[in-house]
Amino acid sequence: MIDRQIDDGELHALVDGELDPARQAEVEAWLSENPEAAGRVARYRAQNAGMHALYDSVLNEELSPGILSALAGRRRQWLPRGAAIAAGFALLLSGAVAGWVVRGEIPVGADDAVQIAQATPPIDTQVLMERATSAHMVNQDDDLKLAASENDDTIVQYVSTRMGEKVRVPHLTSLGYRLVGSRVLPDPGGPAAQFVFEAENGERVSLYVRSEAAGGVDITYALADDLSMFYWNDSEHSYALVRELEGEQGRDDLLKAAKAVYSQITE
Amino acid sequence: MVWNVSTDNKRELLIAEIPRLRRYAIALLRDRVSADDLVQDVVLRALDRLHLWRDGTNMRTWLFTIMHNLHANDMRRLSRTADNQPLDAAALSHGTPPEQEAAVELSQLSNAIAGLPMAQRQVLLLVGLEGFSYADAAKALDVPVGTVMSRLSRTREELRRTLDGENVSQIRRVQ
Repeated sequence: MIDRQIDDGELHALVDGELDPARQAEVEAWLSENPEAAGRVARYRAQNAGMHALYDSVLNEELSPGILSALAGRRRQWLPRGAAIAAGFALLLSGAVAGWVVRGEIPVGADDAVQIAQATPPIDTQVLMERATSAHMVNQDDDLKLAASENDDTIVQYVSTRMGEKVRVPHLTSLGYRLVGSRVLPDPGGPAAQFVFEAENGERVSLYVRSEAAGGVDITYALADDLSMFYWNDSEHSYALVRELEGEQGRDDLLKAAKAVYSQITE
Repeated sequence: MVWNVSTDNKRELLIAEIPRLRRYAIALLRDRVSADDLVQDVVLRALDRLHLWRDGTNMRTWLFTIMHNLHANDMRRLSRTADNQPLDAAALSHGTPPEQEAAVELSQLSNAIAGLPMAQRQVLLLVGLEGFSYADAAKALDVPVGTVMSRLSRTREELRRTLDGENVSQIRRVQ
């Protein structure tokens, strides 16, 4: 039995999940005998569903350059990693990601997939570059899920659970980099994974994987003042491999690593 | 290396909310350029004040409060877009084209929302689209919870009548 009268406000509270379970059951029971009110509740719910149908696609859209630069413009103060890097970063982000010089003249064999990219990458690529750079610069182990070994299954599980899909972890041991660990980071395109690798001399390379493809499948080279990057896409993800800039040799080493990753995990 | 972890974590929380800020702003302002401008302002303001955001409180509510304040202050932006032509519903939805009937209903809904006064649109979108609790919506809009509830009831009922062809809303809205 309904011990209180049901007012219109409670019908809305029902739609919005604001009723306690006992009252909700009462209201629902009452609605089953009051088709007119039940019809209104259905219409209110249809309004909500309609708004989602109209606007949810926005959630998957790329961010405007203005929003990206708003994010980047305040980045510098969170980079207490030494003057040199901070300065390079300021340059890098002064025009969103415009400081990245996208290069393509890689002296490699004719069968290589390295391409010259356009001077200004599309927004998706800029997001990838910005996020990968940010993740690489953090480069601390506090929130890094550390790998016990190169074939540590817990890393795969950790990343896969948070990415919501089975993720493959690349191996770069043959190139002298061992897997240190992984972290999952928020990203406008959904959870993104970062894999951190380390050489014997402590130098680090990080791979950033966004769960959103950003365009071209070619491996493209870009460099900022202090960082060097290769990026590419497959059907479902975009990838960026980042390291500190170490001259031409460093770039060629990074390319080898990029190709290794590409052949191992790109779909 | 000194790294302010907590600041960075706050920043990541903020970034994760941007898509929702955009969805709300686009639905509210019905103009993508204005919406992105507003979200950009929110991001700048929020980053400036990130140290004021307290851990454990709701980042989303905090950001929407900032957005509401900025929007309320920006009467110029408001007056420029309040009566703009409604967004084309078909242009908004991506992917597979919906059934003809559904498309008509969506564009009717879109037009009906466009006809609502700003204060009603805010409550409807915050609760109905963004899933805010009444309490959080009240906080974000800086009005009493009772106002959220009465505004929401009135707005939904007006929408329903408009969409069902019971065109009483025209009369009710003139106050």
